[in-house]
Amino acid sequence: MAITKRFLLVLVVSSVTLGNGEQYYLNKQYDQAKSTYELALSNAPNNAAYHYNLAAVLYRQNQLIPAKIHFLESQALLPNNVNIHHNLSIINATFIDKNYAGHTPFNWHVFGLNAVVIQNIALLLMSMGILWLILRRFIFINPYLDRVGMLGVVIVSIIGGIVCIASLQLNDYGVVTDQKVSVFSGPSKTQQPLFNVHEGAEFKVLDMADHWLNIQFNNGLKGWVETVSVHIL
Amino acid sequence: MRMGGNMGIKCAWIIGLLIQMVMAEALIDISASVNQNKVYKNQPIVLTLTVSGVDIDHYKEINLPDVSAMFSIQSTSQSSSLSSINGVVSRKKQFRYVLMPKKSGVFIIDPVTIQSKSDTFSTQPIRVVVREETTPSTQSASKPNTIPPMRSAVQLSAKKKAQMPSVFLEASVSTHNILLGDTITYSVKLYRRVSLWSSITIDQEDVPNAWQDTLETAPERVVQKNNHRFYELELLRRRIQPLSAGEQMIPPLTARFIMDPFSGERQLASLPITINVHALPTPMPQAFTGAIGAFDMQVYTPNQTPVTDSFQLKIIISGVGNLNQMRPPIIKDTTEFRAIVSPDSTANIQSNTRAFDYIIIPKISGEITVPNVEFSYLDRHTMTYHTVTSNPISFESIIPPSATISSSPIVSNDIEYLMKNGWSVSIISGLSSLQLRQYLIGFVLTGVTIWLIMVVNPWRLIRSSHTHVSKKTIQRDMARLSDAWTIQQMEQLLLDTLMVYTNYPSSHLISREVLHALQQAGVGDAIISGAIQWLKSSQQAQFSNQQESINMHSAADSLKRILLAITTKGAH
Repeated sequence: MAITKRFLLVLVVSSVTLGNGEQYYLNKQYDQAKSTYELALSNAPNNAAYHYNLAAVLYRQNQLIPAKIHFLESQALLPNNVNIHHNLSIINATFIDKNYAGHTPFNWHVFGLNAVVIQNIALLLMSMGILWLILRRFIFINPYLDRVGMLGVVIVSIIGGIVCIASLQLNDYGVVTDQKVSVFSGPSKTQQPLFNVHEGAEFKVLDMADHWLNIQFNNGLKGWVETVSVHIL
Repeated sequence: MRMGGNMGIKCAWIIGLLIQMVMAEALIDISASVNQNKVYKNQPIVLTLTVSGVDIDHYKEINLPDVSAMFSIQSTSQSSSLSSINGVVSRKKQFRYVLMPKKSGVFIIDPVTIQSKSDTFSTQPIRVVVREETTPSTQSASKPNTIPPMRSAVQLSAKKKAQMPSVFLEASVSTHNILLGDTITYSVKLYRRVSLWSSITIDQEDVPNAWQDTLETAPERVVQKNNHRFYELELLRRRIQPLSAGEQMIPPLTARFIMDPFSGERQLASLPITINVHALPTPMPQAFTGAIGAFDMQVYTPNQTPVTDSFQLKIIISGVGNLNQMRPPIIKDTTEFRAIVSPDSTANIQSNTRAFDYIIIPKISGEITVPNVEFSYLDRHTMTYHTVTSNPISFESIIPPSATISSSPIVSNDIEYLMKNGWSVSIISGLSSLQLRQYLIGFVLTGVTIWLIMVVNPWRLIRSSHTHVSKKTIQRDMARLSDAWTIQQMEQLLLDTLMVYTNYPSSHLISREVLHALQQAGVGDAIISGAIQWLKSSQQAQFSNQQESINMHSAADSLKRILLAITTKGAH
């Protein structure tokens, strides 16, 4: 009951706030629009539209790194959305390290669905299979259907297990937020500095130690950076 | 004979004297002395009373003479020591009194007396001359343990200069009045005329609401201070930039060290210093970035060839002022380009310049103009703002086609319009929830656990341990089965037989479960059908409230046949 109430509240709030947010955006009242979309995101943090619209507002306010982050969050939810790709390419053109932009190798999706969606779908099917296994002990089922059902449960379990194990291998990825960041050979500033990267560069997280991250850029370069200089998506 | 007698008496007298002397010496010895007999009026004297001997603990009291008319007692201290020479142990106690003369003149300090059990001992009187003139700087005491433990001698006044201690701290700032955005240099120095027994530990709270940089301290050197030679050691040197206007207090610095191994740790503290931070005059021009002084600006564009994706620009600020504290001149982004300033820029103190590097990233292709760059600074002498303006800079931009959808006018290079929150987006949003994933994982694990419990069925394992007794009971009941039994009794017998001889899972008779159990037990189809039919009939008879003897007869006989088949098949 509590979940249903919350769901309805989110629906009502989102419909009101989205309308207001669009109006503020059209009237170039970007601060109000930003507040509106941030409120909507706090209620539904996995909504691609909210991330996208907030990113658009931030872009208008010339906050390019936060805009890029929200566009990337939106792209993680809707990997095949053309508009998000277009907007990201426009933003990436304004950064110094253009060669480090474009995170396609790090974005895992199947049929436009991201990893979490696929995991949840697999878990839903496995839940249905478990329910069926329990209920068949109390309800008479046609033996033919029973066999088909058992086969389906086995297949779903195998696929679901493979999906969950495969998704565990996925890396986090992130964006450099500071204007200029030194990349070191080890997790300490006393280590040898290898090269510098600038804001907007995208990377894959390989490892983590204290407040340092071992990252790899899409051109293959690796190194360690401080977590305060980057944002993990 | 008379001469021998006289000699004897003399010898006895001498021996008695010697004994008395020895005895006297074995008791207590007392002496008094001063460190100086001639002092100036503002110079303290240290009166030391020494009590030594074997029996020094057995005195009653020390009677000090009344010196209140001549001196005031600044402080008192005492120490004791033990020594053993040729097997003879002796102890010594010293009492020290620091006396400050009240007036000039020649004074006699009367003897100090000490009473033991049977005798009174006294010192010799001491003559002290106190002169009127005061020295320019006087040493407070020659003995370390008579120096007061806490001296906060900082920024010595003329009065204090007359009593120059041997160790003191001095804190100073470059100026007490600055403008907001400017910096001061804060320094704390330790001056000493004696050697220190240990290293110096310093401690100071941070200055609130200010940037601070620790600077390199000067090495120790010898200086002349008030006609005295001191070793000057800079303990701390900081550059402080207050972040708000008003009065700003720099807290005191505490220094701890050991002068000698007998006196313990000493602590000195500097006085807090207050500086006045004046707000900048208003209104401030938009191009003002915190520069205070007198400056000039040059803008350089090293690369004038057509660029592809970025364009470098250098602005050099030259002049005298807070070069290190100023922020870069502002170049605002436009619809044509974006300007990024490099965070690395340091002032060149020797040439009084500071260089700022910018990267201009074009947003469109074609000729791009960077408008005039303005730089404003505050002249601290006139307290007015001055603005320096550069010429506009034009350059050619060529953006590769892959960077944007097309290189035509700005409108098509803009971001796409807002996204609608349709049903697909909402579904994806719901399915992307990590919380949902956690719930589903929990549900799956719980469901699997329940299913495993149902499959394994531990109650069946418990029941199977009583098979021996139940089987006998069942066989006995089968033999006793007759028409006189009630339907409930017959059903209970059937249930018991199923539970013992088959894998019947339930505690009630359920047609479906009976069917499964009998099939699994390998009972013939006819018996299974008969059992199901008997079950239906018994339930009908039970609810109809009519017991016909013919039906009961057939019920008991049928049940017997069924039970026999089950027990035969299930007895393995």
